This record gives sequence, C-alpha cells and structure tokens, in this order.
Amino acid sequence: MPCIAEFPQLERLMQREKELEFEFFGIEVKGLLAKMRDVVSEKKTTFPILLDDRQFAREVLQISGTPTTFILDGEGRIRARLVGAADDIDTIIAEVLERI
Amino acid sequence: MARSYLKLIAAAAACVLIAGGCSKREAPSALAILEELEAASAVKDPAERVERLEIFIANHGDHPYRHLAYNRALEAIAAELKDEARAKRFLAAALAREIDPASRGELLLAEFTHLMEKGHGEAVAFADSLLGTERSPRLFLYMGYYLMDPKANPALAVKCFLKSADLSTGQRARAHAFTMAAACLDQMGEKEETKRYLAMAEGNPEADEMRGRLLWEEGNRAEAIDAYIRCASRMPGARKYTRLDSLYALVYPDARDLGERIMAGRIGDEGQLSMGIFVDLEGKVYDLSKLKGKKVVLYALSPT
Repeated sequence: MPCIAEFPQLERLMQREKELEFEFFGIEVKGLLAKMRDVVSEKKTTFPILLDDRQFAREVLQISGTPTTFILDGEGRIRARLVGAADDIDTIIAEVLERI
Repeated sequence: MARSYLKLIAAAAACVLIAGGCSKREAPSALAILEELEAASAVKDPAERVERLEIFIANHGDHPYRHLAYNRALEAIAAELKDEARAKRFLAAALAREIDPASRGELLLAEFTHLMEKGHGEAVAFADSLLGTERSPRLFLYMGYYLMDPKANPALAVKCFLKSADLSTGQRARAHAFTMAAACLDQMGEKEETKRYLAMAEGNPEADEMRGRLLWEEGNRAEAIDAYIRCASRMPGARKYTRLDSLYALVYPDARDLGERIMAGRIGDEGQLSMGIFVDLEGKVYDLSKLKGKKVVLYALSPT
C-alpha cells in the first residue's frame, strides 16, 4: 500500500501548512469508504480525505495510478504532478511549494 | 428469491416517486450513497448481501461506483454461494442493462480476471473477442497488464494497450497506454517497435525511464541522463531505482547540480484546474474553487 506508507511523511508536511501557506487534501479514488476510514482511524490521519464520486481523478486529472500528487499554485494552476511514492515526498512537495 | 424481487420492486418504486417529483427529498449525498454500499457489502450472510447489493444497483444505476456493487455481488455468488451458473446469469443481466462503456468495461474486467484465475486459454480468447466491440480504455489497459505476462499472451497485450490508447480521450491516458505497449514490445525484444511507441508517449515518466535505459545501452549516455532526469522529475521514486545519482556521477564526475536539474524539471504548468465541491469521509463539504489565492496539494490515493 504505497499511498498509506507515505502517510507519516504527509503528516510531517502538514506540520508546515501555515509556514508554507498551502492546503492539503487527499482524494480517495476507488470508492473504498470503509477501508479508507479504517486506515484513517488506524493512522490517526489529520488531513481531510475527499470522496471522488465524479471520477474526477480519472477523468480530469487523468491519473494512471496511486499515489499521484498534484501541486497547484495560488491561481489554481497545476504546477507539478508527482507520480508514485517516494521516501522523501514531504521534502519534495515542500521544495516545490517554496518555488511556485 | 421472491423476497429479493419484492425488495427490487420496492426500490424501483421509490426511485420513480423521487424522480417523478412526488417528494422534495434531496438526492442522497456522495457519502450517503457510499455508506449504503458499504452497509450492503458488510452483511454477513452472502445471499442477503447479494440482495442488498442488487437493491443498491437498482437505486443507483448511474452511480460511478456501481461496479463495486456488481463486483461484490459477483464475488459473493461465485466464491461464497459457489453458484457459477447464477454468477453467469448475473453478469449477463448486468451487461444487458449497462450501455455505458466504462461500466461495461468494469463488468467485463471482472469476468476476464475470473477467467485468468482459471487459466490463460479462455481468458485470452475472451479478451480477443472484446477488441472489436467494447469501448472502455480502462478495460483494455487492465487486460493488457494481465496479458503482458510472458506466460499469457504479450502480443495480445500489445493490441489491448493500443486499443486503450485509441479509445482514450486524454493525452496522458493515451501516453500511458502507449508506454505500456512499448514496455510489452521491449519485453518481446522488438526494439524498433518499442522506440516507435515510446515516441508516442511524450510526457510519460515511465516512457522516459525506458528511453533512458535504451539510450544508455546504445552508448548515448548524455541523452540517457536527460531522459532519466525527466523521469525522476515527475516520478520521484525513480531517482533511487534507476541509480540516477551513480550514473550522473559517471557521466558528469565534477557536476553537483543533479538535484537542481531534477527540481527544474518538476515544475511546469499544466493549466488551470477546475475543482468544484467535494465531500470528505465524514460528510464535511469542501468547495475547492474557493481556495483561489492559496496553494493546494491534492494527493490522489487508494487504501489498497
């Protein structure tokens, strides 16, 4: 479960939300509500996880797999798309946020 | 069985009443629908569970996640009730009802994976029979994933990936399907064909990884490094498994700018994203269009 494996890094990133002035949202793309709730409860996740009942991730974002991270600037433009998991995803996202 | 039909009729009647405007009830929220699906899926008795899932399908016949209900009902019928004939009837009835290519694709994919578990022969014939009739890019992409196993049918996998590319409306989805066709051809030793489809997969990081490897093998080391950097920029985990740092040090022994080059490749502009309203796991509503002026990180995930 590569997405869940990244949760500790994402929680670390969340601690810098104010400093880096961003908002973070997870978006669950398979409609697996019960499993997702179990994970949130077990991992004590603090960030909101949205339901994708419009197949937004598949149709609009055109993801080919999970996790995929999108970083949007203040104008709502997609400035980075990061495919797959990485041990240092929090550092990478923070660096992109600092530059856009 | 009679009880099942009664419930279906009751559910259908409720739908007609709501659709006909007899009630001012609002449409159920995204969360309420998924909760209904989970409640039906959690029923212990498989026969009762199938009934509940059938009611869900009758009530939410156009919901994008209805394939989960189909799949869970099919699984209960085949694996727990061990009624293969009923599973076939269930699937046939569902396919007769579904005209949406994506939903048909999910059903056919369930049938295909079921056949794959029994052996490759029937599954291969089944996949081949769908190439001329079905319109779901996802169906062909996923059948391709299974068929690219050298013990299955890599040549048919290539056809499936190309069909998926042909049916995909988005550039990224198309590039991914071409990348998979190239990966399959590469595995089959078809170098020129691999390159041909890689050229059609512009912007896909996995295609860049493959390009990097082919270029490195051909001795075009600087170009290979460029391709690996493009790959690692968009697929951060690839920096490690392509051993990019070591390769970079071989080609550019004195350079210390790899991190900066990767970061520069990471930031681009895909254009404006129109996001709208979402509901979270607890039913809280978020209007993401109101976040203008704030940077946003959107993390697409799955708990499996």
